[in-house]
Amino acid sequence: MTIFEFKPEDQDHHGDDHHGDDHHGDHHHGDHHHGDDHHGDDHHGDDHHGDHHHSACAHPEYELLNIFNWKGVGPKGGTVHTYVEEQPWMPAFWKCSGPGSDPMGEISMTMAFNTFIVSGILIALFKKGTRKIEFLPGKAQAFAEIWVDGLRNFFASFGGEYVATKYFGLLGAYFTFILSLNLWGIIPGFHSPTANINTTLAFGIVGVIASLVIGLKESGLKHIIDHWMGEPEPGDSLAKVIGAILLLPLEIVAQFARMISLALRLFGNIYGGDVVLAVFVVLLADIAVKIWIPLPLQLPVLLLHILASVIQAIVFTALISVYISGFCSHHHDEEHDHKH
Amino acid sequence: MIFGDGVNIDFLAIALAFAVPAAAAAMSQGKAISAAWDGMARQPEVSDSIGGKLVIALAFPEALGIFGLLLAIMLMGKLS
Repeated sequence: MTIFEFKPEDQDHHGDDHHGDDHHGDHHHGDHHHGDDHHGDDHHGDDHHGDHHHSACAHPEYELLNIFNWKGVGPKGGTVHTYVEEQPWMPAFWKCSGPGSDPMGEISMTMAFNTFIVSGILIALFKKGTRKIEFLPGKAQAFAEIWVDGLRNFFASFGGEYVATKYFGLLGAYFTFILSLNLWGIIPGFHSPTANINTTLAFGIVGVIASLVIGLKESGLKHIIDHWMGEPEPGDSLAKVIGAILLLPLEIVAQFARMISLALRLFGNIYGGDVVLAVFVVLLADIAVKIWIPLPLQLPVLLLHILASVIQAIVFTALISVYISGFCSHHHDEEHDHKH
Repeated sequence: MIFGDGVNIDFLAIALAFAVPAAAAAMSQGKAISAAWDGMARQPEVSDSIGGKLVIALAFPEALGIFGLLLAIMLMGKLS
């Protein structure tokens, strides 16, 4: 997981500590027992307790949680980070560190790599399901039909029948892609690309701009601005006219707020879930070395993470369909009138 | 800020940055859920429609709680 930033300067913040670390490195170089590694880790924690008074940044509780700074991993007794870095067979984009490992920083190669794998799998799956449409569907076609029909009915309950049918391409692709990306990180060895702000910000910007373009196409700029200004009429009072003029910039800012809130909601849920999972795994390892029984403590959190992944995919798509149907309210009302 | 025993109360900021939004989000979500389930119990035939809208409505307080979590994580990266 790429969730903890690795900071080399944290490794040796002062001389005493550095000396202690070196000692541990030597200790592990001597014996290769896995069990003893954890003893070394305990000592490491105690070391920090010892010079707790001198340094503001040495906090054993946090050091324990920072799994990339754990000592005694691999034959050289380094940290998880250095162990991963030393693997010659690992391609650069597979490693969690290096440029772009910060989930709120620049674009990460790992995330791009995972995104391309997921989109390739999805394209292959749905291509297979829709290549030869038969009356009696095969497995792939049956899956594609159930998926598309179920999703369409689902979106119809949020944004109305008209939006769900006409813009199913956008909404269905969004839902399928986000759900796959969210659940991708559960597979060991892969990372959720939605645990990086760049991915989710791209989704948010594209979604809101798509809803604006659809609104322009459906009801026109004049109608949108009229709608944003609270639909003022010629004989209105001065207060209402001023209110309408003040509402316009507010609504324009609200579009940017929509992008950011969509992005941060998805990012925060998936990234937060990853962090909580990592914390529970570390907690589990800490308990396991004490009682010598590994307990799957992270399982309930993992279930919660899967639930949150599905719910966030639903919420993201439902919000975009609500935004689109807000811009197409004109059409929707007409359709409603025709039915009755 | 560090006290005599080496207790750094800056970490209180991390805890509060998560705890206060989480408490507020939980309270508002509880209100929404209780109202929605009241409505579902009164009219079970519209419970599908209410449930779908409830999920969207829960996303907004949830987002604020998540912003608090993000802030806490970012502060943790800064302070330690």
